[in-house]
Amino acid sequence: MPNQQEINRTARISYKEQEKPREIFSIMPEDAIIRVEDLYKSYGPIEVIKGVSLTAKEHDVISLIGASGSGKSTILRCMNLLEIPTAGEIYISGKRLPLSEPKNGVRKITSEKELRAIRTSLGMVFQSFNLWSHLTVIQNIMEAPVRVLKKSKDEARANAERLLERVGISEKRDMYPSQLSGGQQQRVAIARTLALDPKVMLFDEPTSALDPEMVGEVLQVMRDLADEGRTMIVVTHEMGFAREVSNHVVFLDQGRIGEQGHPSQLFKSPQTENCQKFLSKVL
Amino acid sequence: MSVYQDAKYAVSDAACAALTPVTPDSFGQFCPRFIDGFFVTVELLVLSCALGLVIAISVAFARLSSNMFLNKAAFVYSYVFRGTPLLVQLWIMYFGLGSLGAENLGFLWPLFKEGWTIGLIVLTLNTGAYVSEILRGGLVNIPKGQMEAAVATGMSWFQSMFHIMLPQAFKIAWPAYGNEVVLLMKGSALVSTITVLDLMGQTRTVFSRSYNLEVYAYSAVLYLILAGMITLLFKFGENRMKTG
Repeated sequence: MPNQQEINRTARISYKEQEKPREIFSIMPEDAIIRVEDLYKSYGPIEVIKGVSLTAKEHDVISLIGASGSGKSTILRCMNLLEIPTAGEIYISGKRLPLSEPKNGVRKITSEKELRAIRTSLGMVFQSFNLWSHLTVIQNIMEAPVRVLKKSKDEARANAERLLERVGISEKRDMYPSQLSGGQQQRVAIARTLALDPKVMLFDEPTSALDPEMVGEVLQVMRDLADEGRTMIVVTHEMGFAREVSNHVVFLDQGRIGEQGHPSQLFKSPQTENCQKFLSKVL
Repeated sequence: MSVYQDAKYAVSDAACAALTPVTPDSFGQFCPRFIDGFFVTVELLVLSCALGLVIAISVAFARLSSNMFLNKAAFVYSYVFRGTPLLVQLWIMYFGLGSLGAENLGFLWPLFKEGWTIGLIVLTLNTGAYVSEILRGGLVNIPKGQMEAAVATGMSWFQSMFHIMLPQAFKIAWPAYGNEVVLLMKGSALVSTITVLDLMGQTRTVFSRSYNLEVYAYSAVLYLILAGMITLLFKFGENRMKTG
């Protein structure tokens, strides 16, 4: 009997075999694990996101690419309300992010409790790792399960040890983040988000702050997660990763979706001029 | 309580028995008074530090919260207590409010009639204001991503502040905090003006008996010893926090 991992892997391969772009509106709303509808975000007079809609199904790996300032990270940060969108709705597994209607241009969080539950189901990996500097590696991973999910310390520790083994840094368990290399820190950060077993993992340029020789080890961990069938949304400058691992690539162009599609199609024959220009610069 | 009293007397007796042969007569004669005053100063210091810390943490959080009322209230508190002399605060409370008497103060009277309790309250409020500002400085200097990473896991604002931000703020603010405790210790000498027989109060009493100026030197040495102990304690804490 094939195990879950294998099933997920075959599901992924059959995705990649369909060479045609995934039609975004063919996804029934109830299948969507993340649904972003007509998202706008401005900082004062500067509009950085100008109407973006996106959907992610289970097992999707979606890469957001685009020049810096195109709004990739902002979209990601809106998904767990680290940034409050100016307009538009976001649904996570059918639950609407609890935001009020704008009043004098300000939208308020209407339910802290709902928001916390949604945030727990979205694991976020940051560009600058953001490991808690006063805690050891294993404590970093145990912290949220103990505080948020109210797991026992023993249970959290056992799980943290398993995760550390998986990202290949068991031997660093009692060290502090500042004693680790960037690549190791990012792997710990990935283990920290995995400890909450999130439905979706959001990666905000996870390799951009790393020395070149450490990029590979982090990407490898991310590849393994994709193979397992994790749903992932990745803001990245690693075109190799976007091409090989994701099943959908979104090119953002000055706050709008410039082009999107299956990587084989988007990277081979980009349709828009801006996407061609961008790809010719980064590839 | 009486066990504690007995312990204090035992320590005082032992200390004086040891000190009297090796110190000048002008000290030995009044040794129990000095030791007793030393204890009162230490008690006030320990209690006001502990209570002040609770206030300081609450006020520092209030100053960083998005609730406008809490924010302003915390600012006014910290501004008033840091902007006025400790001596004025003590006198307003003890001689000013205290003069309203039992009939006006009601259930608060037991607090106001004793110099010691007023001394403790004022020292607590005073150090609470200073330490809240020290902690706030630490909190705002922590990289923004630390808080983001905490709330992104689903921790509440308070959990993130208390478990993630505060420990790091303490690490940043530790030397400044140690400094504040030494300042508080020295400031505590002012409670002698509201009838408290702390180390300074006892010294003044001894001076009024003996008219021997040396007694102020003895008290200075005892204060120095206390300052040294505080410094060592904070050094020890700093070494323990070095990791990470």
